[in-house]
Amino acid sequence: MLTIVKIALAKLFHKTYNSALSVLLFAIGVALISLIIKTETFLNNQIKTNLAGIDLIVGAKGSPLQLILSSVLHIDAPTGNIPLDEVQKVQKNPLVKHTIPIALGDNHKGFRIVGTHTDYLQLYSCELQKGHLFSKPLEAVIGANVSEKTDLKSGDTFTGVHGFMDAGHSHDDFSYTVTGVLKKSGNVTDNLILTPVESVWMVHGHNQTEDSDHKEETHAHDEESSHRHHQNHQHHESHTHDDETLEHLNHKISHGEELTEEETKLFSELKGTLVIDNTKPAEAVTALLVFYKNPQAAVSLPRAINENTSMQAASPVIEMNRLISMLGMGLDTLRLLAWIIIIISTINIFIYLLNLFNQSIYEIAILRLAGATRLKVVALLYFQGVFLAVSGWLIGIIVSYSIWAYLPQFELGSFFVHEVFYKELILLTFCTFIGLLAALIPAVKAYNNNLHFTLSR
Amino acid sequence: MVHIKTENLSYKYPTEESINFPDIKIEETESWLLAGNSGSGKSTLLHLIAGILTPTKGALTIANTLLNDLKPTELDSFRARNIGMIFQKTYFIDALSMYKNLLYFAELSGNKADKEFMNKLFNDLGITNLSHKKPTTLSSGELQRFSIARAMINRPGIILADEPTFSLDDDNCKRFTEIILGICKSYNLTLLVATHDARLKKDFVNTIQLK
Repeated sequence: MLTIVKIALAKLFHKTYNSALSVLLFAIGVALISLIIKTETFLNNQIKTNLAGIDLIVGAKGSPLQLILSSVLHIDAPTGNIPLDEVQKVQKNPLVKHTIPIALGDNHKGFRIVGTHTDYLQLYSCELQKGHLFSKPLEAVIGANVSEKTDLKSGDTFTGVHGFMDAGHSHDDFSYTVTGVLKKSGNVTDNLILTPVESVWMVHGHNQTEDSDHKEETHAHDEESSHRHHQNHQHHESHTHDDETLEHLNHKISHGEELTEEETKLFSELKGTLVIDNTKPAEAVTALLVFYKNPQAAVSLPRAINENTSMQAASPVIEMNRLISMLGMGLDTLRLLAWIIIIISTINIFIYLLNLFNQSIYEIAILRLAGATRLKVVALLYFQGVFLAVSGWLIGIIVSYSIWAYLPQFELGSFFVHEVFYKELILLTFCTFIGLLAALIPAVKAYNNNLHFTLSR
Repeated sequence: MVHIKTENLSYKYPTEESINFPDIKIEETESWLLAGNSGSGKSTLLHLIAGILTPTKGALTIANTLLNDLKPTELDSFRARNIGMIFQKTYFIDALSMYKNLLYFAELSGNKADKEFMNKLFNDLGITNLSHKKPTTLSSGELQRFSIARAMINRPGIILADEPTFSLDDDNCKRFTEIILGICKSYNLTLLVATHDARLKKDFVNTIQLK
């Protein structure tokens, strides 16, 4: 059988251009499918990893998807800021177990500066490769990719640029100090610069006048806040009763008792009207990552926030599913294109093998005379079909990994072996089948070839 | 010893046309010419003897083996070991050098290729210096000499040649005939050449004439 393999290969290599064209066409289809597999797996894993069990995102009114993209995946502009007094209302809500604030606004060389708590690092199970966590304003911990691309390391200082593009107004008066560098974790923190929320407030000078837009925004917040203070004073007496009702409802929730629809509505209204007086009027965050105390919160809390406050609440899971569904349509179109290419290349291999067979019909007759059985001749043609298809698979896979390696921030994590390569091995099985299919008709013709007729021609 | 023996041999073509062949008895190491016009059944008889075709009737004994009793795979193996064939066209694999063409041909018979014997054959046929070349670079005469080497590579007892000189000019025809007769004599082979080439008649003592 080894002799048959040697002859099959020699014949393919003899027709270098035809063989290369067949393999190349097949490889393009395989590379596309492989890239789609990687993209899908990467997106699913990135989303799963970066959602990190966050139940709800609270931010300024606007597109809920934009809110999730900006505050969880950090790939879109924020919908705006939310005042701290509103944030504290959510934080105090008995349905809320835990919250993490996110304050955005600046970047350094394209990497976002995120004002947050150290809880954010725990959320993504971040570990330091060097240095220590931030403990005061203008200290920062940087992600592994940030360190790699900007050459920043512990002890270095840098300044932020306003907005999310590298080119913009630079906050030269405020210099950050890197206190630590995170280990690569394969999630969004690899590309972030993390600092206390207070750093963002300081840099954006809520007590200073850095830019006019910002000043107007702050002024608006001041007016809105003082108006609320006035209203709160007038309704102080009614709040006493409301407090009692709220305390009663809180008690029920904390003991795991189910609220009636009316109680839920009342609870939402009361929470919406309560104001925490110690709010600093000018301080704001971009979003609040919320974790529920119990599953019941998923029913009442988003609605309460959306209906009764100036903020919006968006469920990351729902929005991400929507995003995946939208991206899925594009990927499905690409997948269809890839399979069309594969089908065309299969037909191409079939035609090539059929021509090769017709051209070498006498050679095959001679092989039969030499003692090769009909099955050996069939094996020769099947081997050629499988060799072309598997070579196409191999080159396609190499091409797809090479392209993937050049894509910035698209690193293959631990999911690679388990999910991507497994799917690519299934693709290999399919390609082998396609090779056999393409060689089927030439092989049948070879099996039924009349030796006498061929040699007498 | 009788090497090729046919009795009441006949073959029916797919067109339903039947052909009956005269009984043949060829002794070991003899050289015979199978003469006849085109369509007289020369190639058919040669293919029956080689086991490429199965006779409709009659008995066919080659080297004391009754071919009628062999299964198709046994027939393939028997042919590879006992019969060497030469054709009008040479049918070598273009992708391989002449050396590899012959080497793989020998391996496909199931025997281990005897490279020493191969080299001796090349030397005897005067083609040693051409063995590294590919078929497309050789002349018809050179290719026909490699055909002789291929027919002999598995040390068969019988060589069957089907119109081997058809495409050769007079010089090459003469040279081919000298070589094939000489080599069959020196290697003690039985030779049966089917042809309608009148140039060969004078070189053969034994002739079977088909009508």
